[in-house]
Amino acid sequence: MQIRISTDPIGPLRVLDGLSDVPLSVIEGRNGIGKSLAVRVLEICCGEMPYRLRSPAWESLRTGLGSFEVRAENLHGANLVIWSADSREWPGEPSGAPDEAWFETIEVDGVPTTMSELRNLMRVHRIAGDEGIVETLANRADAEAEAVHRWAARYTGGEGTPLAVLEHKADDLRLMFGGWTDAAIPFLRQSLVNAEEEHERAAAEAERAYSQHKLVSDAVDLQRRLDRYSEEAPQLQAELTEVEGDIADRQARRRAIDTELREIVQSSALAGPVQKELRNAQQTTSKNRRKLADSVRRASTLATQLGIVDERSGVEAESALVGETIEALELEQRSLDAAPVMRELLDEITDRLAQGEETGLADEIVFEELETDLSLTVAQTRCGMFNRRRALEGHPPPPAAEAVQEQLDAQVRRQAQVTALLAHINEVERYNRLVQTNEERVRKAVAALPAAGSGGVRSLEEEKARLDDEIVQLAGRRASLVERLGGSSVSDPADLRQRLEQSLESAGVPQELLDDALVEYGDALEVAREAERIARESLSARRSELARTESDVQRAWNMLANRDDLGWLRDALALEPAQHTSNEAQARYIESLRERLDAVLDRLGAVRAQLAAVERALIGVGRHIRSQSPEAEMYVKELKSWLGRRFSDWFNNERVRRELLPEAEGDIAVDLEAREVLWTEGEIIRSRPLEAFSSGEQAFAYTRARLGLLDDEDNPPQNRLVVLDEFGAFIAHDRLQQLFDVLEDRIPQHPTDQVVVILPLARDYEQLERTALKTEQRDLQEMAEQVASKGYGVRELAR
Amino acid sequence: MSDGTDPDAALPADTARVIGVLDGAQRQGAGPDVQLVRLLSTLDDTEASVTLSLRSLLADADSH
Repeated sequence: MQIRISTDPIGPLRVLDGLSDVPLSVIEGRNGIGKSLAVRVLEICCGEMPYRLRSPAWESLRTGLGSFEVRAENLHGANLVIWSADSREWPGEPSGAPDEAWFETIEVDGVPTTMSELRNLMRVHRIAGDEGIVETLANRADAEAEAVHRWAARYTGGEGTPLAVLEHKADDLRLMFGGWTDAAIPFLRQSLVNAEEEHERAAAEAERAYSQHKLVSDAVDLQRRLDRYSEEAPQLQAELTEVEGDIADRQARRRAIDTELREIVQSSALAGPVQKELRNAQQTTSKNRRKLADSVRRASTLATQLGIVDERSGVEAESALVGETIEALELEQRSLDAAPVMRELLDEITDRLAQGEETGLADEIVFEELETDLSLTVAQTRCGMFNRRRALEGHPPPPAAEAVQEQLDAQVRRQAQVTALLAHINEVERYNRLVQTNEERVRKAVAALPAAGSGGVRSLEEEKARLDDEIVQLAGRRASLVERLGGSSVSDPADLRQRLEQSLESAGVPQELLDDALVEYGDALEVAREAERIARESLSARRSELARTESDVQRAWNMLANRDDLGWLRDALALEPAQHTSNEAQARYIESLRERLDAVLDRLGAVRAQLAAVERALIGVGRHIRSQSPEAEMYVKELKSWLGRRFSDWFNNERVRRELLPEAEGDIAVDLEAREVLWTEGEIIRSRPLEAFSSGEQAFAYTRARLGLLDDEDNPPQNRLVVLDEFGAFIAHDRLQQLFDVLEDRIPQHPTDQVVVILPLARDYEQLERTALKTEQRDLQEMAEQVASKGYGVRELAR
Repeated sequence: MSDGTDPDAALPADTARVIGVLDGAQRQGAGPDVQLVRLLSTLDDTEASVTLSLRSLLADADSH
């Protein structure tokens, strides 16, 4: 067959432009003209991979050859085969031998064909002269390593490989069935009981510390009141005595005025109606003044208790301030103890969701989180909220919240007092108005008196009104002083002292250590409250964890028992859901499934390391055959033994035995550990190192053996190109002719083989032509011309 | 060079070759997982094939 190779290399690569259609030829050429590269391109065209993975030579060809076309004509069984391809499209790390996907075109007589079909028509075999038995055997180990590597990349590599697909599936299932263990539920339940007990203890301790602190705090309060009383009482009492004296003076003068007025009115000859009106007006005024005095007293007492002045603007400002304080405390209380509000909220929502379920909305999506791809149905949401509601059940308020509640209660009480004070101020204002109205009545009645008495009456009435105003003011002042003196006008602190003694006794603290005890018990209260807070949070966390785990188990079980796409898994497990009704039983079952999934995932994950170890071991065996350190341990021994058996088979091939060890009897064995070949002759066991097969007569015999194996190939193709490459340097020149003779001798038995021997250009044909016999001159001249024009020449050894 | 009898002749050639290598490396109870390699080499990308393989692996895990 005639082969033409058309290339347009991108880089500095050169490829021989073709091969002549002769049964046996020799190509002699200069280095670098692409003799061997042409053969390797033809090997790829015929489905062989002549390079090692990740080798620089392969990368150089792949990136440097570019678009090319190969045409083979005059084949047995076909007229024309055309290949076209672009090497840049070839894979950097091929997962297998070249196939039709590597080519834009593979056509046999114009019909596209597959690589498999093509290989029935044509194959290329390259026999390298520089490759002795040692290298051949080492290369075989390397080739096995590459096979393992390619297989591992294709089946166990990244995304989309069978192993990754299985791992994803198993991982998905593993994730679906949660992270708890079957022991989690009993453990969490016991933890919850422990946490409840711990919290109960901590809460009791906090309560005790609070009571103790309160006793001391109350005692300190009483002590301070008593101290203040001792400091203020004398002055207050003196002021009170003075005020009471002023009141008594004014009341005495008022009674005298009343007597005078009665006499004046009785002595004047007044008409009955006028006298009656004056008396009524005076009585009504007096009545309203009494009520006014009562109101002023009540307002003054209350204002003193509240520590504010009994004026409308001040009281209204206080009311607003207390309202704001209550609002802030309510907010703080919710932040400290949201459980009651949350329970109320969850009750409302779960009721509404339950109604939705009853109307057929159970499986509708009600919650969707796009970022985490989480969605919940109405039923799942209600179930989750129910679990949370249960977790909040009986949630005790923290002590800090109790303290806030106390403050809140105090402020609410204060707000009620401020409201009452405002009511008293309203009364004061009202009775003031009534007093003024009735005083006007009195003035009118006085004006109706005869002129002789009216002046005295008017003057007395005015004085009386002034005295009444002063009495009202003094009454308010008196009420305030009485309140400051502890609600009694009598200066007697005995009650306070008695209460203080009782408090000290209850607290168990001597009076002189009261201040220190307050600090000490305050610290103890803080520690106890912190311990309670930690215990409460721990309890809350346990409750939540148990509820979440039980919910997870339920969700996982529901999926396993009901999901349509997990039917295969139920079948695989022969699962009968009815046999696992309790939460614990379901958790145990799912745990056993997860253990199996873990085992599967471990097994899947291990195979990568195993394949990598096998690859390393094979490379190590190759290195050992080449007398280098294996640099591997795992599997090396086993693979040496295995490859040794395979190499032994090769040596026992009849053709190889005949060429390499004709004297051997019985089986020939290759011992890769010792790197030698063993056989018997008679009763004697003989051995020869592998290196001994790589020189001189043995090397030539080895080449003959390899040719012989080609001759024995099963199902040979219709056309076979056999290339003997790199022979010039390794076969002595005197043996070359012997090799050509062997090749020529086999032509009649293999008429469809085309054999090419590639040699480096070792002779100057121009020089030879000048000194040659005339019979040889023509051939030598032709070679000289070919070398001069193309860099190589072709000698046809047989036509 | 003869490879001798191939017990995995029904498998793709490269897989059979790899299995041969792994068999060679297999030791008593500690060798590479040849059974898993065989399973992976027969897996296709259909859901049925994946679940069938996983089912088989789960059954094996149960017996371990």
